[in-house]
Amino acid sequence: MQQPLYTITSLQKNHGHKPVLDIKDITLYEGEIIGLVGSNGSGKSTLLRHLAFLETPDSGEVLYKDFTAQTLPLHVKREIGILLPEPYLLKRSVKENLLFGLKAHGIKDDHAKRMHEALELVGLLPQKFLNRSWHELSSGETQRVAFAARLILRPKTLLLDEPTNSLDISGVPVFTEAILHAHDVWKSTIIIASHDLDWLSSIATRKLGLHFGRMMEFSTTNLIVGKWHEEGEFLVYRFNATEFMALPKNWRIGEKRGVAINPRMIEVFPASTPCYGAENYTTLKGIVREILHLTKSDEVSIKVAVGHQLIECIEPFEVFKSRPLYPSEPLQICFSREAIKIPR
Amino acid sequence: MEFIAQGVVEAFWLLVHLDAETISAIDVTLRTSTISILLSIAIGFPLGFILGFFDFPLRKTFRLISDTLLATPTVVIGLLVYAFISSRGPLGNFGLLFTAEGIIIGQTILALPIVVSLTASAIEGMDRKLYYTLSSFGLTLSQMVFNVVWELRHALLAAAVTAYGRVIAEVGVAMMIGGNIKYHTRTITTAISLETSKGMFSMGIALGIVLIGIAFLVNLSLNFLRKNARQY
Repeated sequence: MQQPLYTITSLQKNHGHKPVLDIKDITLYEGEIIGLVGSNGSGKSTLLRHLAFLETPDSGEVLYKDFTAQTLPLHVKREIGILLPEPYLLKRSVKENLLFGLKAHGIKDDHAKRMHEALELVGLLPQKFLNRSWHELSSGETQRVAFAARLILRPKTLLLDEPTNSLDISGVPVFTEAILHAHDVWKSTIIIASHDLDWLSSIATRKLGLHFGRMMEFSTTNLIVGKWHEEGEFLVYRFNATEFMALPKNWRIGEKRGVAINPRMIEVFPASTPCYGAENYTTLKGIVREILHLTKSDEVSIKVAVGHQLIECIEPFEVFKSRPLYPSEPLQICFSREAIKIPR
Repeated sequence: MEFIAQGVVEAFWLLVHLDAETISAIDVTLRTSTISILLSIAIGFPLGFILGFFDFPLRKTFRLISDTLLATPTVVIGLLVYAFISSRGPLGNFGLLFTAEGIIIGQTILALPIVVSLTASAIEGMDRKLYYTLSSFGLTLSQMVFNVVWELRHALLAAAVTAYGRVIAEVGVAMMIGGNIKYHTRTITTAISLETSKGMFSMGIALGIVLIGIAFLVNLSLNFLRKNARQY
C-alpha cells in the first residue's frame, strides 16, 4: 500500500490580496512521479516552494511524513531536493557547487564517485566540467549542473520546477533518464512542474492540474476558457459554427476560469455512430490531432480538435486496441456533466 | 600661480625626503582610519546582516535611522563625542580627548551607519534565487549566514571600502576630538587645513597628493570589487 508522503490541507497563500494558492486537500504518495500542469501564474512554482518548505502558507498546512513545517527535523527536511526554474549556481566552480550540498549535509564519503555519477547522469563530462567556474557555463549547462547538485544528494523527494527549460534537444532524454534513475534506483518520489505536457505524460504516473491556484485532480489540458454566452437558462460555449457546449446558468462559469473536463471521463466514438442527445451529456464532433501512448499508466491520450479547441481524451490502452484511431480521423466525443469541474 | 608651482615642487621634496611631520600625519591618518574601519566592520556587518536578513518589529524604523545617520555631518559627530569624552562628560575619566583613540571612536561612529546601511542593502538586494537555493539545501542558521556572507563578499567589502573613503577624508572629527596636535593627533586632513590657513602650501599640497593617492586606491579597489561582484 502506498504511504502518504505529502498531505495538504486547506492550503492558502496570497500575494497581497491576490490568492495564488487555494488547495482544499490532496495527498501525494511515496514513489509517485507526479506531473504538475497549469498555465503561467497558476501557482505551480509556489506550490513546489511550499512542498520544499521554502515558503510558509498564510493558512492551512503541508504535512511531510506527518511533520509540519514547525516540527520537521533538519535531517528529514534534507531528504527534499528542489530544482528551481532558472537555477542559481553559487559563485564558485562546478566542483564546489556539487560538493556544497554534501559538505552541508555532513556527507564525508565517496565525494569523487558521487560527483562523477551526478555529472554523468545529467550528461556532462566530469573531466571537462568539474573545474569550470559558474560563469563559464551556458544556461543549459547551468541547468544541468544545478540538477547534478541535487542528484548528488540522492534526495528521497525531488521537486523539479520546469527542469527542461533551458535544455537543448539532447538534454530532455538525459534528464528523463536521470529522473527515472532517481525514481527506480534511489526510490525517490518525483514531483515535476512543466509546460511540456507530452514529456510529462510520458514520465508521470499521475498528473495534477493547477488553475488559478486551485488543484484539479487531472491535467488542465481541457480547460475551456473564453466567451460563454447566455442563451435562455444556459451558458453556451461555441467551439465553431456547429459544435457547442451548454451548461446551466447557475453554474456561474467565470470567463477566465472557465471549466475543465476530466480527460478520463470522455468517451470516444467513431463519427458514424449515432449519438442520442441526453440532457446531461455533451456530444461534440472533432478530428483526431494526436495520439500518444502513456507508457507509465498504459493509457492512450487522444487529442481531438473541436473547432479551435484541443480536447484530450484518455482511455486504457486495451480499449484503444479494440478500435484503433488514426490522426485526421473524424470522430465524436461525449461526456457527462460529472466530467466537468468548475475551478472555484 | 607662482606660489602654487613652488608649493608643488616643495611638496615632492617633502615626500621624497620623508619629512618627519608629513610622514607623522600620514601615519596617524592610516592608523586611526584603519582601526576605526575594522571596528565599524566588526560591529556594522552583524548589525547590517540582522537588519537586512531578518524581519522583526521596528526593523524599518532602525533602517530609517541608519540611513538618516549616513548624512550626519562629521562636526556633529565630533561635537557629540567631544561632549562625552571631555573632562566634564560621562567618559571624561578615560582621558580620550585629544588622543588618537578619541579620533578612532569618532571615526568608528562616522563609519558605522555606512557599513550598516550598505550591508543591509546588500543583504536585502540579495538575489531571491540565492536565498531559495541556499535554503533548499536544508542549512543550519550558521551555515546559512556564512554562505550568504560568502556569496555577497564583494558587495560587503565594497561597503567597507566606501566607509574607509569617507573616514580617511573627514576633517571634523579629527580636528575636534584629536585637537590637531603635531606628531600626535595631526592627520592629513587637519594638517592640510592648518598649513593652508598659515599660508604654507607645500606641506598641504604634499599631503593632498597623498590623500588623492589613497582616494584613488580606494576607488580603484571599489571598482575592482564591483566588477568582481558582477562576474564572480
